[in-house]
Amino acid sequence: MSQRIFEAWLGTAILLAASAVLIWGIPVWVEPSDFAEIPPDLFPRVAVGAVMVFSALMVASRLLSRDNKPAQISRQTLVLGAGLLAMFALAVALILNLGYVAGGAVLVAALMAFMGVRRIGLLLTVSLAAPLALFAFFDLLLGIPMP
Amino acid sequence: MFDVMMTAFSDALTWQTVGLIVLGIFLGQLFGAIPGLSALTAIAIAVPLTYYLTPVGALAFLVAINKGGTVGGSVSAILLNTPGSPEAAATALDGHPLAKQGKGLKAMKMALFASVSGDLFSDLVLFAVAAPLAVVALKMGPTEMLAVIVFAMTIIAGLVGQSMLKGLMAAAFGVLLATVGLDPETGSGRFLFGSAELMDGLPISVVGIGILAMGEVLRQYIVTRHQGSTSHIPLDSSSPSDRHLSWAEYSSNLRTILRSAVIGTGVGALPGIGSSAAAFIGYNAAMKRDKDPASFGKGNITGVAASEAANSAVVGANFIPLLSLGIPGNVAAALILGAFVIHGITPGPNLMAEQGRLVYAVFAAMMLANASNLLVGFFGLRLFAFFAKTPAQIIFPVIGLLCLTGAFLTAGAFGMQLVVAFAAFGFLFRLFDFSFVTFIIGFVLGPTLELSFRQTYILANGDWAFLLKHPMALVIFVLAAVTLGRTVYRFLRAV
Repeated sequence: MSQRIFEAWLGTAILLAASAVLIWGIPVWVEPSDFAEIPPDLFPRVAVGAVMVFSALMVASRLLSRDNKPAQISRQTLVLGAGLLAMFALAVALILNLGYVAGGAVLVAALMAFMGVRRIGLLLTVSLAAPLALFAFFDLLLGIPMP
Repeated sequence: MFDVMMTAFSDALTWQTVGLIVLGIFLGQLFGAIPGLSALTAIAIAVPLTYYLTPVGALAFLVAINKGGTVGGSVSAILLNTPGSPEAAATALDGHPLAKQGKGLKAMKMALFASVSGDLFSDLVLFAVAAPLAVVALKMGPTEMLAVIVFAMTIIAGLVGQSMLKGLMAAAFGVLLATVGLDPETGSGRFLFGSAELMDGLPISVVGIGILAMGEVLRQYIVTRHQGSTSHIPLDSSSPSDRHLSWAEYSSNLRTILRSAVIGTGVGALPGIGSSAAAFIGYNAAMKRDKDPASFGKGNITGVAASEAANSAVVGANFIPLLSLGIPGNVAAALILGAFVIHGITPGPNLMAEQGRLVYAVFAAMMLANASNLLVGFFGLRLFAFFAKTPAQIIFPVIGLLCLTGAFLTAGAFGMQLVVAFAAFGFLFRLFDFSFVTFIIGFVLGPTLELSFRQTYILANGDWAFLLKHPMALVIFVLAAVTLGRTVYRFLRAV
């Protein structure tokens, strides 16, 4: 797929999402007010409308363009990114439920393993030392309660 | 006035403030030196920490990080040919060839001295123009403020490079997210999703950490995985002349440094352009005026001086629109604006009049930061070089945890959950080449834009002739229209 076609699809997706926010989202998520001189939903509508206009222009400009260089996005990058975000989401859950040191150690270890560290000693040392040091600094030294 | 200045200087000269400045410089240089990180990441993470500091201490700390980052970025640019921060990309062009010749330490010292010189120049310009500009700004009402913000947005639209439409979309998205919270007039809830925590809007710290720091860190996890250790170029050779920078070498580049400082200051005063552009403009200007332009890119120390003086001069100049108009010149200034707001201070036309003591204290802190930058940089070069070579597989996982920690300090458990969502946005912005710069500026300026628009609408009472009574605003609106027209014309020609 060429970069311009990919960006045309991307613009279309953004246009559809913005349309959904404008038509459905704003009426649901913005409380109306009967006595406001300027309705509360005006600025959100202006902002979403601007996104719609720019995304439509982006679709048009990409379709009219003759540049056919290949798309620079790879599926693997998207999948890896999604995996990393899931890792962070899990880490947040662990930190809030098991504590900062335990959750932090799991996160650091998982990320180091993801990045290719295979030396167990190094992995364990850094994954334990980092959250312990941060916990000691914020909770013990500065007195800021950590999970 | 003199009394206010003296009192302000004494505010900045406390042990706590001086300590925070030195710490901020150290952190800025450290983060700047590590490829993939930057002063922006450090500032985004540090903003929540400043809750517990005095306003002077907080601002001094963040400004110091910003200044340190521009120096630190040159370390990995020179040694590893990998800019530690984007503005150091031009420094690598001549810095790395010098390192390969065994003159890495010399190049780093020139980068340090040129950086501090450029930074000092722009700080002096800031001190000179901030007060007079604030006097002019005091005459501005909501209509003029609206015009200035619209003008700033049109400038930014024209400077987002090849992806103008993407930059504008990102800015509009930032303005949309800025509406989360309570309507300023009626208190009606907007996009609260049933969450009481969102009534105050999205915290700038969490948005900054997510979009800027975590978005970049996520990208780095993927880019640098399995890369292993970085290559090791020796810091210097055995020859003393390769390790030292002589006064003659520095003084022969003073004209270049001054020219680059002027370029950087001019670029920094305009919102949205940034240090990278200043660095390349300064570098190109130096190359054109050099007796031997062909030597650039092969280890000409003037190239290092030019790029570093220019990119550092942007730092002080970015505060000109911030302090006088409340408009951030770049992302770092936008984050520092967030810190102002956290401490109950509103940057803008009234800042000098209402908080003159604070402003002059920040000026004094900036001068101290320049001196600290020189000292910490001079004695810490070898240490930062060591950290620049630390494997990414160790640094970045720890930074990831630090990002979550910063979000927790800002907004508790809710902040940690929110930051992961914004990390997703930050990652997608980078993946699909949307400008996070315009997003952050749109997000930060959104509330002021809306408030100015509301006030103008109410004052005008539906009468367009109202604008004729505000000639300054009218002129600025016309300038904005002309700028936008030129931008659209260039865009249509390119299509």
